[in-house]
Amino acid sequence: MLQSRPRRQENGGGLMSDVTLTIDGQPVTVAKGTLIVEAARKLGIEIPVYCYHPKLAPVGACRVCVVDVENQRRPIMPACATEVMEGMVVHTRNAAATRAREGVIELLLINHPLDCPVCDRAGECDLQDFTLRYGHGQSRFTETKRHFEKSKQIGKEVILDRERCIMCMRCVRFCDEVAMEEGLTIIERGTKSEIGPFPGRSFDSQFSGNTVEICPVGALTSRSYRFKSRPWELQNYASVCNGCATGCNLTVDVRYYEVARFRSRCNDAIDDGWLCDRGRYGYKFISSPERLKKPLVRKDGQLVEATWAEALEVAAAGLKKFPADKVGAVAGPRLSNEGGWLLTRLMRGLLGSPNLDHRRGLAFREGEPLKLTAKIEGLDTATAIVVVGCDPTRTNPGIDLRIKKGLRRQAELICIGENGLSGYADYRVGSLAELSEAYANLPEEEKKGLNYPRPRPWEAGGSTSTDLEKAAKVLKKSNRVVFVFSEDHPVEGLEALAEQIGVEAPHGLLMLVAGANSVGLREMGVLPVFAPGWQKLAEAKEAYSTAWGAFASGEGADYAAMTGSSNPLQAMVLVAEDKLEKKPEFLVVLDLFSSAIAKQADVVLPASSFVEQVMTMTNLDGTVQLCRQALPPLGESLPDWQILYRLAEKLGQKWDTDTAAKIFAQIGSLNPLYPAASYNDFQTEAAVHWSYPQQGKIGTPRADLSGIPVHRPDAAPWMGAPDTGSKVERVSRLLAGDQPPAVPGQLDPRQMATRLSLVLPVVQDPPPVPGSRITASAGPQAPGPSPANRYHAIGGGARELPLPAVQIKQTEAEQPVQEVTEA
Amino acid sequence: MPTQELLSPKLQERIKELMASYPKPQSAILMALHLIQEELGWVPEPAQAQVAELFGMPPQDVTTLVSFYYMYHRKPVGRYVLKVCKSISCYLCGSQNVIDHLEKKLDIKMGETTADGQFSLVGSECLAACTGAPCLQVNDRFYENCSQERLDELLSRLRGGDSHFPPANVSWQPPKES
Repeated sequence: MLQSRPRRQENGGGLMSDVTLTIDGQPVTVAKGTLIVEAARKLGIEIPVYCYHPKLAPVGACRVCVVDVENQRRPIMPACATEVMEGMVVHTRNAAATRAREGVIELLLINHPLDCPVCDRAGECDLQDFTLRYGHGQSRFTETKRHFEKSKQIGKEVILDRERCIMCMRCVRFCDEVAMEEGLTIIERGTKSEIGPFPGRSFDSQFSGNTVEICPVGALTSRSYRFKSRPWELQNYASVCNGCATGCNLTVDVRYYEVARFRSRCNDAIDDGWLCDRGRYGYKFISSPERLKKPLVRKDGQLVEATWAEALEVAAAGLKKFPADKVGAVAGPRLSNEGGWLLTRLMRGLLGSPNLDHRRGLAFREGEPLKLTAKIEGLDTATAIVVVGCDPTRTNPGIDLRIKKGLRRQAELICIGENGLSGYADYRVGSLAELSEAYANLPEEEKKGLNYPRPRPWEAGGSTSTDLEKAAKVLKKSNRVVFVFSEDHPVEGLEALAEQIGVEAPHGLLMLVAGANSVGLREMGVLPVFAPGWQKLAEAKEAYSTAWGAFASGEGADYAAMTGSSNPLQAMVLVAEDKLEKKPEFLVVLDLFSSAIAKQADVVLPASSFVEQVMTMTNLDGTVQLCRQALPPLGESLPDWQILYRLAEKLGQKWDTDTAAKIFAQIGSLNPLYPAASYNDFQTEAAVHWSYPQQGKIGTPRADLSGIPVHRPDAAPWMGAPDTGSKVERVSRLLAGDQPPAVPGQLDPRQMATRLSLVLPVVQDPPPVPGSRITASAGPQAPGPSPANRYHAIGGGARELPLPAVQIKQTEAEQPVQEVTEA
Repeated sequence: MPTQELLSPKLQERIKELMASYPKPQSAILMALHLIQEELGWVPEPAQAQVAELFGMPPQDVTTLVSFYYMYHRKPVGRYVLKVCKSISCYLCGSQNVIDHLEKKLDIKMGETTADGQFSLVGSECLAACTGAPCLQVNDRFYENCSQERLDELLSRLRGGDSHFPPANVSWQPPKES
């Protein structure tokens, strides 16, 4: 089936001719091969779509996008499946187009149940929205609708309601084209068609949540989010998944101070709009009752709750008691860049100890640094992808999808070792050494690989070859080769082979690292033998001594030594790390949960999760991304950097970096890998793309790319309002037809009664603390807050908490360390 | 789920030969499904999964084909499958009477199989035998001008063990006017 479906022509980056056409009287120039629906979007003209999805091949199944094209034999054409042509004249709003569209919607609604009030999608349903905007308003269909069992669970996370399905085939095409694995299909035909997995089997793809997200109606819903919330009750915050180092962008949807769901926030450079289920449904730990909420201090052999001041006092006193070279710190990969930076400052600057390491800090750091030139995006344009001794399907599912995207375009896959992509491999070879040798033995003039079309391994009749020579020829096709490997399994000769091929960014070596911010922590200098930015310790000493007052430039104990059974240290700080074989005399643990190690600690300090603070992370290809704060910290927990800041305070130093933004600015001024970094870079976009050195090695400064604006496509219509704002705009359109949308962040007075009856907090940025006083203003010309329109934000259901008003005017990044109030 | 071995080695061999005879091996899938139905009488789900494995395609792609084409049976059927044409010519000539009569005589509804496993009654799109409307097929043999009497005759001949009735490739001729 894979071969039989039409594929969109991928533009190979060569010179493309432009086409000028007219849509609703407005001229627009787009690249040849653009679809009408995309050209209209460029003009800001909305054409409703269901089956169309920019990441899937056009299929023209639902016909709701019909437009009137002049001088055609059949003037009513589907805009989602028709390419633009020079001089084309398109009408999207004239009588013919309107009438056709009304007819299509009427037909789509024939079997669609009127159960919006109990449907999870209501409020963000494209069928609902477009019916209101473009529908006829009346149906001539009086017969019985077809009926199926409501809510059938078809997978671990996916629930199907076949009555609501409009057969747009987005989910089917996702399984077929993007995930390229067993999944959903259409069973039966005509009016009896229904969606489902293979009979008797469960839809248990690790990407199944994406089908729920792209479903334009309420046919596919997720078990985790089902009946939890209405979309207009949600506040949306841009964030980044911290499940693995891929760094897929996501939107955190918050309802009453609890995460209701994660959604994808398409970033073409990283996730291509998809999330894996592990990331998408991995938010439940945030509100877990097991989370640490108060600092704990060991008293008489027991860990008991304490105030922050008390706990920090004990921690500081304990760390001060021991000589600097007997104190150490270990960080796990959850820690933010800001936290990592302050940890380095605490150890090297304040305590004068060089003993600090990140869990995987020195893995793969023996000898010369590697040239990691590959970007995730590079997989799209590669002609060959070599997966060497790692399993992206298991460790980095986002990379798995990206490799498959490359395969669908032009890449051939060579697998070394067994992994989740073996079934898609054009070639399987035993080892890299064999492949390198075969490559070296190829005659010089051999430039061409094997030509397609012939069935690829995942297609009917295709198979995987073990022909070493042919595999080596694939590497000769071009220098656009990406080697995907894992830091855990160093491969001899990888760099040499890449050099022979002459790879250039964005291709080359792509290292899969373990842990969300492993790369960032290493670059923050959480390492025993390097200063931040992979600088040599002796060389960096001067700059850091000036900035921090002191800088211990010695080489310290590494992760293995500190967490091993012969741990020489007497006092330790463990941040988000749960491995320690020998407990030192004094142990401070910063963590979300009470791990086995935390239970042995002398002081346990509760840390906030990544949605409860503003922080940055650096993903595996060196992209620095910002997580915005979506929730107030749970209980008394604090962001790691704040804990470290306060600890330093108790140790007698008041640092000037008392906001996350200031820390990041300091990183920008001192760390050569983050030149002139500033939170301002994230003002317009949630992700800033710095690059790994385009050429050169880790450890050499990156090119100064800091000021370069990031291009991201406009949010697609089904993605809702901009993520940084609220859903106000969408709701107002839904309720008020085509009236102008309300100003984001402010309540539309027309909606006020409706909205406030839902006890809905006005969009506040950052999120208000439960019980804090927030102000609702009545539109742009509001006379200012008056007693009549002041409401309390209500946390945890329908309780009003009589807490004093808190001024929340600053942007969250500027939120300083607040004074700890004593209980 | 381990795939149950339903396809005999000989059948698998034949399917592989079929695959080799097309420029694109997957073109053979419909013919392969016919072969399976010929051998098993219907196309059970494990067989769909197994043939998907043979072709190297995801199993749901086979299900979508088997359920799209009504000539494949997704349930076990009787020894004689009566496929009554429901398309326009037969409909105008009274195909509904044929269905009603057969439902009454066989005591089953459309889509069902008699308890003795002899007859299944299914509908069909145009059988291209409009000259003999209303018509039906007994397995793949035609039976035309289905009046009540002729239907009774058909049922009694089949029940009587005349498994070659109606004869293959012989279209019924109207009696010559004298």
